[in-house]
Amino acid sequence: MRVLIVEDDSEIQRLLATALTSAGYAIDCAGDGEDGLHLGMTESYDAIILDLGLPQIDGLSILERWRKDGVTTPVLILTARDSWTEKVKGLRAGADDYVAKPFQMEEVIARIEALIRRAKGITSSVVSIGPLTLDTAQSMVFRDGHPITMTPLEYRLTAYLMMRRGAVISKTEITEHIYDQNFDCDSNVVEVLINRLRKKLGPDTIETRRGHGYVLAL
Amino acid sequence: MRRWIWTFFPHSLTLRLMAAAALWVLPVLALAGFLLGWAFRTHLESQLDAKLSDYQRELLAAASIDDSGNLVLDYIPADPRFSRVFSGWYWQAAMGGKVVRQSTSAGPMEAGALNQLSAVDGITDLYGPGQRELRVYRRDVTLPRGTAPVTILVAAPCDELEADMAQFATHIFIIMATLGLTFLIAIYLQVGFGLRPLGFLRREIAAIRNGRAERLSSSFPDEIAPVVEEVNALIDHNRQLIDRARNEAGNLAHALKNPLSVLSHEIADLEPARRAALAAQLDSISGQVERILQRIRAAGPSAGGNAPVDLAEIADDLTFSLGTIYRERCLDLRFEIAPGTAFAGDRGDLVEILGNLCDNACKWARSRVTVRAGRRDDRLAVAIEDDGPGIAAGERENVLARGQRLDERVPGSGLGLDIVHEIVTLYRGRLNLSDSALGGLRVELDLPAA
Repeated sequence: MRVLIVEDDSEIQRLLATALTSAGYAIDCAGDGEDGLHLGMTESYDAIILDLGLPQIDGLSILERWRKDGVTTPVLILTARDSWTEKVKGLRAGADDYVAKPFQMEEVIARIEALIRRAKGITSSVVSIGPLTLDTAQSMVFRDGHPITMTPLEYRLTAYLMMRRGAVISKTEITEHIYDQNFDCDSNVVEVLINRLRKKLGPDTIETRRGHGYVLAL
Repeated sequence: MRRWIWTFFPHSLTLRLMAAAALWVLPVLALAGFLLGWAFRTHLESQLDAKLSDYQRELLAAASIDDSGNLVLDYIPADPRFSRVFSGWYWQAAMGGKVVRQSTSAGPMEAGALNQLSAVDGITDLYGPGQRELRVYRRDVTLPRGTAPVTILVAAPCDELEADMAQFATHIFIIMATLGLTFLIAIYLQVGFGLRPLGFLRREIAAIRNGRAERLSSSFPDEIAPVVEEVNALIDHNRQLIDRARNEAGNLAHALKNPLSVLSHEIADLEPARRAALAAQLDSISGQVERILQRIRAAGPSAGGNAPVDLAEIADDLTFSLGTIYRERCLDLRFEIAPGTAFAGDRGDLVEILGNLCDNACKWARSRVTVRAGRRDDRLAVAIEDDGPGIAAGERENVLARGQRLDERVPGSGLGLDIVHEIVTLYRGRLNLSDSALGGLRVELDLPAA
């Protein structure tokens, strides 16, 4: 899962990035409105955390531009502007959730998770497919009830595959959603990662569709 | 000059204008009365003079010199006033300074008395018998065959003329007084009519203060229009000040809340006892910041220039917003707003009140939240109910107290209610908590309606 953080306060940005990374997300950060607008338009994210008071372009305008241009990524507004008038404005502009600062990190992570699940059409924080169980609240994957130790990257890929179960996912889509922006896109890395996962989850769990991508075969 | 006027008519434009009008109307009326009196007197005098002249001519025509050289009168004027003794009407015919004949009215008078009094040819006013003022016409002629000049003298009393004058003056005074009174009444009505826009102005300003209007209308006469423009400009200026204060509040919030977020996160690694102590302090700071910001942000009823706030529109916004935030809960959030229900106050304040209360209700509700709003007399009555666990009767007081957090488990709860309570108090409204028929909490609001 890949999340964009648009926040001009570098401390908050760092905190969010650290917490979300350890919760198993790939993170991109934008420190001003222009960057944020651009990233949201061109990259594909599973969720966006958006501050409203931003240099250059304010958050609301960015959100409106995204929605006008057909960007449907769930957006969580995280702002100090917490009056209900502003909340209504933000939600009317197309935000999916609104958290006021000062915030609890757990709450932001829980809400981001909920937004991503909702966007993928999953209603519970626990997804079970065959012997595999994904608990997004704990960032854990279980096989037959036993936890599987994974690197963050492996977890991200497993979670993505499980949330998009049944769909064939291309290498490009995988790199887009589990690596952050600075990753040098080399398809071999994905293959290596898939092979490592097959060892941990079971050899038949991930099927390769030549020329198309991968699909969870459970 | 201005101050001096105000000490006489301290509080009334009407009195001022009336006094100013009286200042010219009354002298003009007095002058008119005086001129009419003068004209009338002139007329009476000339009439009297004409009459004296007539009698004089009559006597002259009757006078002749007989063969023995004496003055004789063939006939005398028939006017009975010449017969009544001391009537004031006299005539006399003399020759060579010696009275030959005189009217009966002058009977007991020493002959020549009149003659002595009036030594001038023509008309004179003089005092006759009994110190009565007389108007005398004397003419000296020489008749044919006469050896000495003949003097014909006719006199009439002035007091008759004065009596006529006095009567006329009384009439004039009554007419002028009536006229003056009519003028003053007419001026009073005219001033009232002229000042009527001031009454309209007062009513429109009251409407702004009560939140029934946003600005003054432009349909005022040219003389008041500049004032209306100034008032509107003042309202706009006030609104700008409020907007700026709100912006500043927002900026301040931004500035304070980021460090608070960072701090509350950074203490997570501390040992539990210290963390709890610091967390409590940070919570307290956040709470204070929040409350002060809310207080700055709340416009309150005195801000002025508020258009009536349509509740249906806000209900629409909140249904959408809460529906988005609580999408997964699938709550049955229902607004029942009587048509035309409007709030007299600042829109942001009402959105804050209803947003917080509905948000609270949604947080606690199992499945249903109902909001009913309508007008009761000139008040706005809103009831927000949910089917959540409610609040025990003994706890309700605490919930409204400053910063009391009802339940730490539901994030962000507690702060909302006391903020709402403060805003409601600003509008001299009431906030009442009770049990809902749905099973949860019922919050009743009483606010000024528009």
